[in-house]
Order: sequence, then structure tokens, then C-alpha cells
Amino acid sequence: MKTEHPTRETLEQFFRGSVEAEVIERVEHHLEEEGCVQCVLAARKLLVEVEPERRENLGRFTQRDRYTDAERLESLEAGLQQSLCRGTLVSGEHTVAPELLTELERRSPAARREAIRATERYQLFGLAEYLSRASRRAVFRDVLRALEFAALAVEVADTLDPRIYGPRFSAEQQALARASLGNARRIASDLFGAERCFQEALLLIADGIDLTIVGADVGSLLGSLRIDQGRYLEARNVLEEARRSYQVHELRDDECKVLLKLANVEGYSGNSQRAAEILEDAVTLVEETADGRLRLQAHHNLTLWMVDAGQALEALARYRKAEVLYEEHCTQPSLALRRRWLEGRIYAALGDLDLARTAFEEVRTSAAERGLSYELAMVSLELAIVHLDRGETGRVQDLAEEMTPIFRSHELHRHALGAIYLFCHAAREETATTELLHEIVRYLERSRNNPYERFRPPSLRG
Amino acid sequence: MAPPAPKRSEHRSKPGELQRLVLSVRHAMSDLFAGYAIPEEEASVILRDSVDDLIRHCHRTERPRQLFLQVLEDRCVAYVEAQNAEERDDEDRAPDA
Repeated sequence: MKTEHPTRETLEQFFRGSVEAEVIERVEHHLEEEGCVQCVLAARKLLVEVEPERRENLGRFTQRDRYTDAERLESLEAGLQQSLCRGTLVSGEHTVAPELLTELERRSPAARREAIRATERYQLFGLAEYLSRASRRAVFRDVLRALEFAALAVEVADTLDPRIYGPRFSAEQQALARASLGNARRIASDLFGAERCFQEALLLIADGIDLTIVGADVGSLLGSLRIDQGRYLEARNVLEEARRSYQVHELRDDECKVLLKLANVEGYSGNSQRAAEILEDAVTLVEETADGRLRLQAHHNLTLWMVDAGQALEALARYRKAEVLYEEHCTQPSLALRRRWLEGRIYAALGDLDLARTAFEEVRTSAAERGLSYELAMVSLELAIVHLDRGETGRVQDLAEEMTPIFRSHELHRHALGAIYLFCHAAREETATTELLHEIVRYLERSRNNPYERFRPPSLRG
Repeated sequence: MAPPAPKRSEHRSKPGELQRLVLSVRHAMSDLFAGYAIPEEEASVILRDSVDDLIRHCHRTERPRQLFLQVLEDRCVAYVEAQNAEERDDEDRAPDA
């Protein structure tokens, strides 16, 4: 059962910082833990009234000539207390966000937008932030949902009252919402739509992405878009800038995520050795992080690029080192599939073709069962490489024949299908080489979200 | 189903800790403002924005003190750079003597 609502007077005194510790705790509990929508909405109206007092208090601290040290200290304490109460309100907004989202989701998509524009109830900083984050979390699981969350985040962010949240924070939230929408569009292969979102986001944080943390967040997401666009130089620049910002603020997990992307920039540019070096740094950086999945991702990607760089034995050692992490996190089928796939790649690189074939076949079956056409295409090609290495050209032809369902799926863009058709044709003609197949796998890996990138066979390059 | 809300600890440290943190660096803050010769009005805005940044982002770092001082200094430097750029623009626009 929820505790009693604080009175308007108590709330006002709370935001002015003029109540005893016990009342502060009670109000904080009511807003943050219990997530009382009614009181959160009442409280945000009070903030406009209290803001001048907070400004004055913090301003007094900076006026050394006019106030004594004792007076300045007292004002700073009061201003900080009032600032923390503002933080309490945003936390409360976060707590009520799921309830408000459920309300919104009961309406039709068009009515959701109208409700946000017309009703103060939804015009909350915490709701915008929550929706942006929800979009980024959902993006690989359910891209349609991620698109909807981010579109709603943009709607909410655009209605934020700058008198309550401040013009800079409102603009930052608008930028982050657009970057989240751009990110979801990227995953949905709408690279032009994604570009438009990021252009708008950058205009909103015109201070530059190296200054603010939100700027770095936008830069990190923009880096992913530049990678998918194949604009590696720009990707490297924007990611380096985001990394510097995270470094100076000692935000290690965020820095690690940027390193994972920087490694892809190097790897896709053909420098897998450099990619592995970057990931060594990432692994060191997140040794003590509480985010086990991030640690696993750093280890996993490092092993992958080591294999690509021809360091099969080192890759095997690295893989063994991370086995505990895999055991902890591979309860999800998608992670178990990636783990088995990596094992296959390590065995193939070590020349243990029987074990590699078994691993790839398992991954292939699992991908087919789960309708993962992209994964199915890629692992089929890797299996074909193993067959070629064993001189089993008949098996390569069988694999090519079995790829027909991939052409019927809507998951692959036409240039990716073209590359796979090229393999099928070469298999039938018995002209497929491991070099061609490796090229197609690499192409599929980097062009997954880019329907505009064509496959250029090695023989057609200058 | 909607995704779960972040836990309190995910988006906010204990308020008392943050207050103590800022109070403990008050001399360093004053020195920064004096060192970069930031006018009082601007210093007040920088302080306010940096405190708000600290409250918003402290859950992402193990070192909130470092985060706060760095954000504060970044803003001082940005202000000084903006002032210098403005002065250069004014000089460029001034007619030749």
C-alpha cells in the first residue's frame, strides 16, 4: 500500500529544502520508490516556482566579494539541497514512466502522439529519457518496438517545458531521443532516415559532442551509423571524440562500448590486428565492471578478431579464459548460438575441420529453426569453406541448393542476396574458392544494415 | 510489456553523499572560477549546470568527484574559448586604423 500523499505545502517546503531529514526521506520514498504519478505531476509544477530561489542560492556562492564565506557556504548547501530535490523529481518521473507507457500503449499509435502533445501528464523529462533508453535496449530484440519507443521519446522530448528542466537539458533530451530514433532506423536498414535524425540531434547539441556526456552518447550512436554506412574515417573520428569525453569523465563502461565499435572500424577496414589490440584495451578497461555482459562482449569480440588476424592459438586461450563468463550469460539462445559459432571459427582456424564442421552445422540448424536467415546464410558459407578445405565439392553444391529458403526470406537486402547468388552459381560451376567465400562472409558481416552497399568480388576490383 | 524501470541506485547516489562531495570541493570550485576569470553570473550558470549533470550522470561512474570537477572545468574552458573567439571576431570586423 502506498504511503499518504504529502500536502502541497510539504512538497513546496521539500523543494525549497526547508524540511527535516525525516520528511525529506518520506517524500523521496513516495516519489521515487512508490512512483506516485499524482504527486510527481504536482511536484513538477512547483519546480517552476522554486527555481529562482535555487538560482539565487547557487549564484550567491559565486559572489565572493558580496558575501562572507559562511554565507556562501550556507547558500551552497541550500542550493545543493534544492538541486537534489530536482533530481528526486526526475527519479520519480523514471519510476512512473513504465506506468505512463502502459497507458499510452493502450491507445492507437496516432492517439499516443496526440495524447503526448495535448496532455501535460506525459510531458516528463524522465519519460523521454526512459523511452530513449528502452528503445536502445530493445533495438536488437524487436526493432519495430524500438522504433516506436524512440518515436514516442522524440514526441515527449519536444514537449518538455524548459522552465522546469532548463533549456540545455531539454535540448539534450531532444537530441538523445533523435539519436535513439536514428539508431533504431539504422538497425531497420533505413540509413537515410537515420542520417536525418542524427543531423537534427547534432544541431540540438551545437555546443559540440566533446563537451557534454550526452554529446558523447550521441557521438557513440552516430559512430555506429558511420560504420554501417562504410564511412570508416568519419566513424573513427566521431568515436575517438566520444571516447575522449568518456575518458575524462572516467565513464569506463561507456568507453568500453566505444572501443568495441572502434575495433569494428579497424577490422572492417581490413586491419584485424589493430582491432584485436583495441579490444585488449577494452578487456582491461572492464575487468572490474559490474556489467558481466559487457565484459563477455569485449572478450568475445577480441577472440573473433584474433581469429581473423590469424592468431588461432591465442584466440583459443582467450576463449578458454572467458568460459566462466559464457557459462554465466549463455542461458539465452542467441548468445549460445554466437558462442558455438565462435568455437567453430577457432577450430577452423586451428585446422581442426571435423570439430569446425560439427560446430557450424549445429549453428546452422539452430539458425534455421529460429528463422535467422542472415545468420543461416553466413554460417552456411563458413561451412562451405570447411567443405572446400576438405575437398568436398559435392557438399558445397548441396549447401548451395539448400540456400533456396534464404532467397524467400525478407531479412536480406538485394545486394546481400546477390552475393549469395554468386556463391550458389560458383558452387554449381565448381569455381567457388575459399577466398571468394571469405570475402562474401566479410561483406555480409559489415553490410547487414546497409542495403546500399554492393558486393564487389575480388576479381572485379582494380 | 513495458521494460522495467531503472532501480533507484541505477540513476541516483545517496543524496547526502553528493551534497558532501560538492561541499568538499567548494574551494577547488572557487579557485577554478577565479583561475579562469569567470564572471559571477556565468560562474553561477556553470555551477548550476554542473550540479545538474552530476545528479544525472553520477550513476554511470565510480568517480563522481572527478566527473563533477571535470564537467565544471570543461565548462570554464568552453566559456573562455567562446569569449576569445568573440574577441577575435570583433577584431576582424574592426575597421583598419
